[in-house]
Amino acid sequence: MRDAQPASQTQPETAMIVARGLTQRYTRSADASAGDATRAALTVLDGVDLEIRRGEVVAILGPSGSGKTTLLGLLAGLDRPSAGDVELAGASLAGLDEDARAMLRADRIGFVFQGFHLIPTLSALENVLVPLELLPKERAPSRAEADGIARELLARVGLADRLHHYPAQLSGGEQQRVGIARAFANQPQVLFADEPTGNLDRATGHEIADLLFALNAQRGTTLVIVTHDLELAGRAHRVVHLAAGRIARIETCA
Amino acid sequence: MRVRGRFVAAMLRRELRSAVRRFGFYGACMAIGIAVVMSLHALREAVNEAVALRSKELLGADLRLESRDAFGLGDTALLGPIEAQALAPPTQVTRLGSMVLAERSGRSRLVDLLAIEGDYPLYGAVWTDPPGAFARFGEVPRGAFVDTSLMIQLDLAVGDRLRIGGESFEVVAGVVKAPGRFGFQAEVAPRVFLTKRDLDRTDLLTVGSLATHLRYFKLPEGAAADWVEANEEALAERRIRAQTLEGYQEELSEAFGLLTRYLGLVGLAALLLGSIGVAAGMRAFVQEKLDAVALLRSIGATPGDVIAIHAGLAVLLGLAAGALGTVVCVPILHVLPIVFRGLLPVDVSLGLSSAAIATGCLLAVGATVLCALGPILDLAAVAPLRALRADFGDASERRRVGRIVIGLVVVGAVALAAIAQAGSVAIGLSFAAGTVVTIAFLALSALALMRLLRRHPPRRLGFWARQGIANLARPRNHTLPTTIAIGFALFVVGTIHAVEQNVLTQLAVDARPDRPNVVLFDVQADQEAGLEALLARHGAQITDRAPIVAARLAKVAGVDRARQLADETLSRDRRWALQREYQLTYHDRPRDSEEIVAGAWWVPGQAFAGDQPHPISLEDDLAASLGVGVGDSIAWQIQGVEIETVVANLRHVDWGRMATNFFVVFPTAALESAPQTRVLLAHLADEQARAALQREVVVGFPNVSALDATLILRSLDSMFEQIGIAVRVLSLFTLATGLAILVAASLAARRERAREATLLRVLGASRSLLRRIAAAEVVALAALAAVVGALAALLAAAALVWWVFELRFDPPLLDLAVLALGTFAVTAIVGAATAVTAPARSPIAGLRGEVG
Repeated sequence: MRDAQPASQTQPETAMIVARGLTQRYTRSADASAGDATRAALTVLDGVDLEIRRGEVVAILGPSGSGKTTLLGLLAGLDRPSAGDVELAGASLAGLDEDARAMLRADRIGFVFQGFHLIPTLSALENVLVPLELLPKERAPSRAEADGIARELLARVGLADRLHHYPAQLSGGEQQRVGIARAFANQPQVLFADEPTGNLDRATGHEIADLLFALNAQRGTTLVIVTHDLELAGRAHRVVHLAAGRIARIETCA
Repeated sequence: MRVRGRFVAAMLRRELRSAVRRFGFYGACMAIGIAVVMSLHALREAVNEAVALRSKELLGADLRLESRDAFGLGDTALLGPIEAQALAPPTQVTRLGSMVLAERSGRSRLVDLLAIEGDYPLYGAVWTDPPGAFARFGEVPRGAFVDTSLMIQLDLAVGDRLRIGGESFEVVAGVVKAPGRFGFQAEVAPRVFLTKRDLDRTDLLTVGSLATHLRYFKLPEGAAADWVEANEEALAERRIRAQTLEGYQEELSEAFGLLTRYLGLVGLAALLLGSIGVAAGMRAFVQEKLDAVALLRSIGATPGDVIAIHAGLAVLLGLAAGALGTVVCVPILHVLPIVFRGLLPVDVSLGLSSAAIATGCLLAVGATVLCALGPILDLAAVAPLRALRADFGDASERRRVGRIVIGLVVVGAVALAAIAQAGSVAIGLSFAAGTVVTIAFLALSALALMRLLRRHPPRRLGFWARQGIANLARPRNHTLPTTIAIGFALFVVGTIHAVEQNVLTQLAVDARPDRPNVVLFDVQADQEAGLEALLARHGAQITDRAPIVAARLAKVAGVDRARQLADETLSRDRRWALQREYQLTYHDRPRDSEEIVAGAWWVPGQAFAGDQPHPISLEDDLAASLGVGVGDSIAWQIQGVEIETVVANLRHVDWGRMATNFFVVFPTAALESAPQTRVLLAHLADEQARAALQREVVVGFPNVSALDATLILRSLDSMFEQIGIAVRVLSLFTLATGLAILVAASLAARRERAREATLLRVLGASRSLLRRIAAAEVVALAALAAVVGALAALLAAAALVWWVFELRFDPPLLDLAVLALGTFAVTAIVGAATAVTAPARSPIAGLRGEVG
């Protein structure tokens, strides 16, 4: 089934993310890795329309090079599209400058990365504290409150006894638990997860996915997961299949 | 740009933990330069303070008047008002150059005789050995007080007899310290103190002898300056040089300040070098930070936050380097007064003022922030998308422009710092330009050599050698900063040495085997024949002789000298040229050592009509200082008679040649009949024979001064040596900085090296192979640095000798080779000591460690 209708203005309170005609082209002349044959623009994403509702869990599925990560980057406001626009939690990203988009991310968005991306020089606790320190003033907790929130989250992901360990002292699974705790620290409205189990073995991957879905269900966060793991994608409400920069089909799960 | 203070502060606190560990050594690189600049600052401050505090003792009066002519009744109108204000009767001193002979040892030497009438000194004291002996000055008839340096030179003891002119004197005591001289000055021109009454007995003071008359005043505060200001023109007219306390203080501080300023440039070079180390460290730091910053950006940090965190880090690291510099400064402060001993007007003990510390810290912070500017802006430009795709590069045009702007800012800052340090725009800019060119040369030659190695690897060598050499060019190497640092240090030491060698040997020492080494001057016309006979008896050959007529300028190009001097904006050179006393000579043909560069020589033997101006020949540099050329008129004051001349030609003089060289040459007919003395130059190879000759000259021709040129050159050498040692000690700090950078780079690469060593171990490399690879790398790096450094030194020295000193360049290849070898050895040893030659853990543990 195909959900081709662009978001309509009549249901703004239920739409968390609205993408219209999202297109991304790269001219990578400066990048030697692109080779000299591809000096022309490379269209990675081609006119993608997508609407994600509040509280919905959406998986973006597709083979390597289909544009999954690019789409995630654009939806989260990490990059600017060549054409089209994204409306995120009611704000049009096109109208926001670099700083404003950073503030928006700090306020309403969380990330879980494939490579964990913990800051190696900070302890587990400090890594989770960072998003709390980035919150806008009106939402910012006091230092003691922030400390409490971070400890509670780390306890929730099972790392109550690893607070002061550095990333290098943690296993891959433990690092991703810290990553999940960090992602939920600022109570985001939308959580983007980029191959969250990609770097983990099967069993650990399962545990991490369970944790992610459990926390998400508990907090009612909108969750967008990029993956090529069919099993993980199967746990989403909807699965967006990408191929060659376009939405091939959208599947609604049980 | 938005910045969130709380977040920035929290991140800063955390980053500092790892940054201090990582930057400790880089901080040390910068701290050495900071310490040198700070200690020279402290030295200058201390000397200024001591000079201000003790200038009365140093000058010995509130006002000193100096004139070639004795003060007499004619001066009453001018001097009356100031004498009326005097708090004590003025002291009169007659200063005269003369030979003295130690009767017991038979040694003789040219000295400064100081004949004193009245209380001396008006302030301070004359320190003697035995102590307190100066109280008896004037009580012992025919008693002389002599500088202790002269007592050593002539092997004199208290009670010995000293022949001065026709009289024999008793040495009453040695003078350790007296106003007016300090440090090496006393060695170059030692003094003998006697009473005026005794001087008159010697018959040395006759009409035409080159005596200087000094008058010392003790005055109420401010009186001297007011009087000098009110009588400026009259003093110039009467050719009286007035030295006030304030002026003397300024002169002393300026002379020494200039020296410390120039030496400070060496400190600045060390600081610059340290900054290169810090910049290299920052760049490596940024490479590792890219991912973390991308993460921070993706979860909501703004570019402003990123800049604030890392700029804050740079400021704190700069402060730490400044603090470390303060610590390093403490031992240097103890060494400096020893290094500068002979150059200091006063004894000082150094302490660090809060101003010096603040200057040092500010300098350190400024330098660190400048070094960090480029890397920080790179971090701020990291796209948040990099958190998703590690390969997301963004080499945009804007960053390239940014880099150029930062480069210009850095070069500008270096130029400003150099100008501030040198106190001169021209010198500061030349220093900055020279430094930038040198660093560019070192960098480019290192890059070229690295490229050559990569393109044409030494295939015939073994695996270990190839691997070691290839390491120099692999990603994230520290080859460039290390080569620049060590190469620059060698460059500084090598250039100073090569220039010194060339200039000293060519300027001071005439290398001809028959070069004259005995100079006889103040020879009266009727003494010439007798001296010739004496010289012949000792086997000396007269190589040169010339008549000398003392004169001063009266008018230059029609403008009165006093009027020109009244111009405050006059250049130092022109003021000197207008004020000095000239030793004129006459001859009718240019000499071998002279070359006509403009105009033409006059017809020899030509008689000139009395009312026509005489043609004269001027030395070209002097003509430039006076601002005259061929055809301009100059009027001279010779023994009270004004003589009109016109510049007929300009000569270039080879001053390096030991001969009677003169600034001004007259036609014979013009000066033949003027009161004159003669100078004779002779060659006498045997040192003992020279001493005997001098002795006989003192006895038989008391008014004639006989100089052993070899001894003078030795004295000059000792002065240059004093400065040379100071420069060399300071340039050692540059070398220390270079080595600190080497150590820092080596330590920074430790983790990667350990990883690589582990991998090679897993693949089956033996420990000895790992050691050989490390050795090959260290040796190649040390050789690279030594070669480019020596090359840069050679080129810079050649350029300086050719263009600045205008001399022939004689490359001291052997010395440079020794320096380069020494640098190579030290670099290789330090490099080897910090190299990683074996994995710290078992290979398998090392590999597992990589997964996380």
